Amino acid sequence: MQQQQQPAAKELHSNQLAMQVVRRLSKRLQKRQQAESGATAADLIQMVRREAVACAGRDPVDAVSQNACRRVLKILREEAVHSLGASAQLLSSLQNNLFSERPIDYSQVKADSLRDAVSAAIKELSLELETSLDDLRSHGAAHIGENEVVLTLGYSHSVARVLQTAAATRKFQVIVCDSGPNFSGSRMLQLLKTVPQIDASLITDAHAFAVMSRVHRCLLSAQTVFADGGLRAECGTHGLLLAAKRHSVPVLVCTPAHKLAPAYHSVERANVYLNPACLLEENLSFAEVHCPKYDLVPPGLVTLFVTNLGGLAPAHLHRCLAEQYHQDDYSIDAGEADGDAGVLDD
Amino acid sequence: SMSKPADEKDLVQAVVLADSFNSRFAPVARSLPRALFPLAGVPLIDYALNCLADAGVHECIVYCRSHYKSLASHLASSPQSKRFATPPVVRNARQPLGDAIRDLDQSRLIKNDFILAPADLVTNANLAELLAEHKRRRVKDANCLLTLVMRSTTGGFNASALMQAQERSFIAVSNADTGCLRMLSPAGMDKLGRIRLERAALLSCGRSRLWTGLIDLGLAVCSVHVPPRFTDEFDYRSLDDLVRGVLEHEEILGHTVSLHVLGGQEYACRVSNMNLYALVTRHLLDNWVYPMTPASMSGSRAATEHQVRQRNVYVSRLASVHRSARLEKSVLIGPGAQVGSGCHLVNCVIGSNCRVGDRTRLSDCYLWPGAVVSSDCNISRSLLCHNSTVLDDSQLTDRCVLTHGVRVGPSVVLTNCRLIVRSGRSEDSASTDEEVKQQLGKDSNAAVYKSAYSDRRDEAGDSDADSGPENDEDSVELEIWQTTLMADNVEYLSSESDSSSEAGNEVPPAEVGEDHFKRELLDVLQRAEQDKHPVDTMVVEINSIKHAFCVHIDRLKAILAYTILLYPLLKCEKDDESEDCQVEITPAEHFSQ
Repeated sequence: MQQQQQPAAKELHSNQLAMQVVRRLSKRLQKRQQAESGATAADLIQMVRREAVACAGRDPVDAVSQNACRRVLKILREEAVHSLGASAQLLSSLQNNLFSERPIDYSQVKADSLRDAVSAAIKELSLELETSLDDLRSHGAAHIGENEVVLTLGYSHSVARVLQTAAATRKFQVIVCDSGPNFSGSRMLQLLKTVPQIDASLITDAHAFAVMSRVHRCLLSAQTVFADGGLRAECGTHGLLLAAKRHSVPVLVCTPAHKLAPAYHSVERANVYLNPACLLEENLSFAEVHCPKYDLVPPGLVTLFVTNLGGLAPAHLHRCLAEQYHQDDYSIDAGEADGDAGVLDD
Repeated sequence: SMSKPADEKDLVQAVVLADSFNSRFAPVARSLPRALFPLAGVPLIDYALNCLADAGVHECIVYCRSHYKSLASHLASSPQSKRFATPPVVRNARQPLGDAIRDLDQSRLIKNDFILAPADLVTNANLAELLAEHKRRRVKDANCLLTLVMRSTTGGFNASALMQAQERSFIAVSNADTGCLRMLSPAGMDKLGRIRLERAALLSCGRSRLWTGLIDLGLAVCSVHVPPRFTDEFDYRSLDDLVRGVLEHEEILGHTVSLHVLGGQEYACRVSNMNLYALVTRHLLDNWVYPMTPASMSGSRAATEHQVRQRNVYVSRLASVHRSARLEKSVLIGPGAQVGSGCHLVNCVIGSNCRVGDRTRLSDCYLWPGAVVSSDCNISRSLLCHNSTVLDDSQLTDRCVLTHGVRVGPSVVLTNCRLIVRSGRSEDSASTDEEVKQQLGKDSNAAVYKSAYSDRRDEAGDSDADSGPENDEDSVELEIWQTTLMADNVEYLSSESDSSSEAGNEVPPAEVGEDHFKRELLDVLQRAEQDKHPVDTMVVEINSIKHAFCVHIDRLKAILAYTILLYPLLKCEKDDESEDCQVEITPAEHFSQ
């Protein structure tokens, strides 16, 4: 089957994926600016929005590509406003939106004038994406203390790097939950066994509640972070977080900022369903077997989001969102109104 | 799509047979070939093409017998066919598989080992791996003619749903190390739960492995020598013939057949009758054929086409579903469809541009594009073909099939395997108008299907339409839904194996011709006693009447023993000499031959 059906097998880290998208967009922007002399900022913005829709179409679960498009849109809009002059800049601030009479007209701005500023900004963005994991590592490692017991689930590149960085200066113990049915936890265990300062052990998902009283911290990763603090994470995370809440264990979610999506959590969000045969070999006609790849974790269960920009409390996610994306780009739908509530058309 | 490889040795070819040459879907398949039946909104042949394209096939040759034009036009426009290096080619074949492969041989299209698949196969198996394995096997053993691919159902004789819906299943014995096939026979248990195995097959095999409950997929990886073999043996008509021929004449020609059994996570099934159509649709919706999901199969803009909700509900973004409609589970709603208020849908496929009225309950039913169901209906386990209409307040339960353009009237109740066709179009006898109006509603334009060619129907019953219309219709519809054919098979086999049960275990059923045989046998014994024949002469005589009456050797032993014990009693009655007569029964050594 085509690549879109096995996103895990891609083995591209999220920041690499985001960088790919940004590179592609910058090339297209350049081409567009060269080809069409009369192109305005509105045209460019429209083009990037269409690309975002196409990304959602290719893989509804993947929010990183869309977020990368949103970052580029933010750059475009900012630079356009900048070139429109001081009055427009005044209009675009949050308070003044209430009193402004007309919205900012992007078709006034010529694309040529934006070219240098936009390319410089995109270079900065690429650099930020490239170093996001390193920044994340250093911020995350600060949260782990000496001789603490850390619980994690499955295999995650970010969490593995955080633990390795922390192990450089202190000793601690890590308990890994193997998450079925692909048992990625064993992969994490193999990796952690090579690190001398970490005392790693493997437990089943079901055992997590039992050991939770001994755990100091939960360190997890997510595939997507929603704007209200909900998560789309590996299957088994929801149960783990409920156990952590019950025992009042702080939960840290290590995600780079480009995984933050401006949509709200909902159980109707896109999810990938794998072959039920990996759970149950014989397809019994009376049984309904579902094998979802991701858990949609409701908000309120995470203590702190550790991002490459630093620690972020769930209540302040909206501020990070506002810095990263422009308000008009929060919803990019496929052109057809959906019945469900939700800002992002997954 | 990929490009043709430069080296001809790397060219991967596949042959798809788009005609199954049986009439399981009879009235429906008259206007639409089975390969183009929509299964979860996608024509059936697209599933096979998808699987082949994933396996890296460059070239595809499709054989069909009828509906050549519609198949060709579909292949020209289907998104699946664009994935091949050259678009699939349609060719005509009059007869089943045999003629198709002979045509292949004549036209010299085949350059390498090729994959042979039926068009109605739905599978997510890794065919590329199968092909590679076959090539490796050929390198080791150049005599391997083909690799037959079958699917095993777990649990042995505990029939899973797939097994139950099949027409027949197989038992095979193959070499555990090389996979070389030694024996393949249709399976069936007798009343005591036993199966037949051939000793020769087991003895000649090295380390053998017994497979039970195999399902025939019609899928095989054939070597380049298969087409010439078909040309030589002009009476081969199907893959079964080839396999049987190879197994029987192994010593002469030295070819072998290998068996590859799919199991576990690999799903494979042929949609060869109505029950299987329903079952495979359900499995497809429930994600068992991952990574082929209804969302991914539905065209080029696949991922945006359907909104996937919980419990396997796929709703096209171009469909309009009322807010109060309850889509419970495993529902697929195609583009342009409309579902009214208060509906309740469970396990359904609503094709494109269908309309479902208000307060309708649909369960286990399949609506093809253009079908219309009005308000307050209750439809379960039925198939509504293109542009068929069900008017208000009707109930269709338990395996009704409405063919193209049929309109079934308001407030009608149809149960139990009714096949409804358009009246005036079918060449079969239609009921009188009053009956139609009463059965099918006053606004209908339909008639109940009575097949003129039913295997079960006697010649006498044909003219006498009144005596058993219910039975005959039932038999036709049951044949189409394949509910009783499996039981029949078992019965047939059990009567044969009954005769081989140990004498004395159960009383062998007496047959009409056997009395005659017993009398002949008595005559032989009488003559032998009178004329003092030696034992050898008696044996020759008994053997000759055995062949004349076509009696099985085991039956002969039973009847002979019985007759020999009976003979002196009869003699006593005839002679009427004394009360106690003693007859010496010579020891068994005379009959040990």
